[in-house]
Amino acid sequence: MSTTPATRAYRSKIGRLPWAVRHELNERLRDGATGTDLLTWLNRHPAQRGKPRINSQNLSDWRTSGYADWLRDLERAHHIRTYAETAQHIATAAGGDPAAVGSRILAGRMLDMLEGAEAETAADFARAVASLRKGETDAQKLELENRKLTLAQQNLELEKQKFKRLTCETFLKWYQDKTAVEIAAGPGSNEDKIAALLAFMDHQQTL
Amino acid sequence: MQLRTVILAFLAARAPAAYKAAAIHSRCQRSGMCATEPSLAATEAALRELASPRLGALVDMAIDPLDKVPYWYATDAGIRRWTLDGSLSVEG
Repeated sequence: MSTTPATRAYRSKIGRLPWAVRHELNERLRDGATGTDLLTWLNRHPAQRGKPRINSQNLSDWRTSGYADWLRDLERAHHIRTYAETAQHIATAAGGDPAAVGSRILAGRMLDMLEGAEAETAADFARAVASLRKGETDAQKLELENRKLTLAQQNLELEKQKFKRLTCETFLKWYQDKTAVEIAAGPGSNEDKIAALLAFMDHQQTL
Repeated sequence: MQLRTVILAFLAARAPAAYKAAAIHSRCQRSGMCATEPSLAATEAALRELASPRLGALVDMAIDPLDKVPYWYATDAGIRRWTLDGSLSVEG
């Protein structure tokens, strides 16, 4: 079993500081704080009061020991989270409610297997499940797009039907009008008749 | 390190997975992260404490309908606390 950061005994000046201070230091290092700023902060920290000053060599040593371990620890936590999500996806895909105890137990058992497997095998497996999930999501997106398209086509068809009906109603209305029928049945080209009908309709609407 | 901290880190990293107290005890023991060697009774007591509203209900349990045994898991509040505390990793 590998030694975890929490159990490592750091005998350096920084390593003997409380866990919370080391944790904050690691976060500051990760965020790119300069050595000068870090040393000022560390040497002014209440936990450091009355102790020998921490110098740049101490900080440099910490970068390659405690800080490097901390980064590895973060990576391990990230892997476990990935495995946990993989296990959850499988439990959900099997039809389980993710919040139900059965799914939680199943996720725990799968996680045990993944954590017990070779790191590369487990990582491959997690990647394969993630890829499968992505495929499913893409398929669902496509299905949704298809539904939207079908709906748009149905709406268009509906509009066409409404337009045809409105045309028929208009035709029947104007067919009952004697003047309109005379224009329609009278001499002249269709263009002339359309112009005359439009003028007649406008006139009727202003009355 | 406090047993409660180790238990919460173990469960929160693996959420929503749920484990029996005995499994949690075994994994925390194997991690070697606890200040003192925890007993199963101490692990069960720590789980009950973590589940109490006083500590913010950081874990919860559900009874498996098949074997009628409680399984413990980290709640959303527990996961948030673990994240804020630096996402400590427990391996064992």
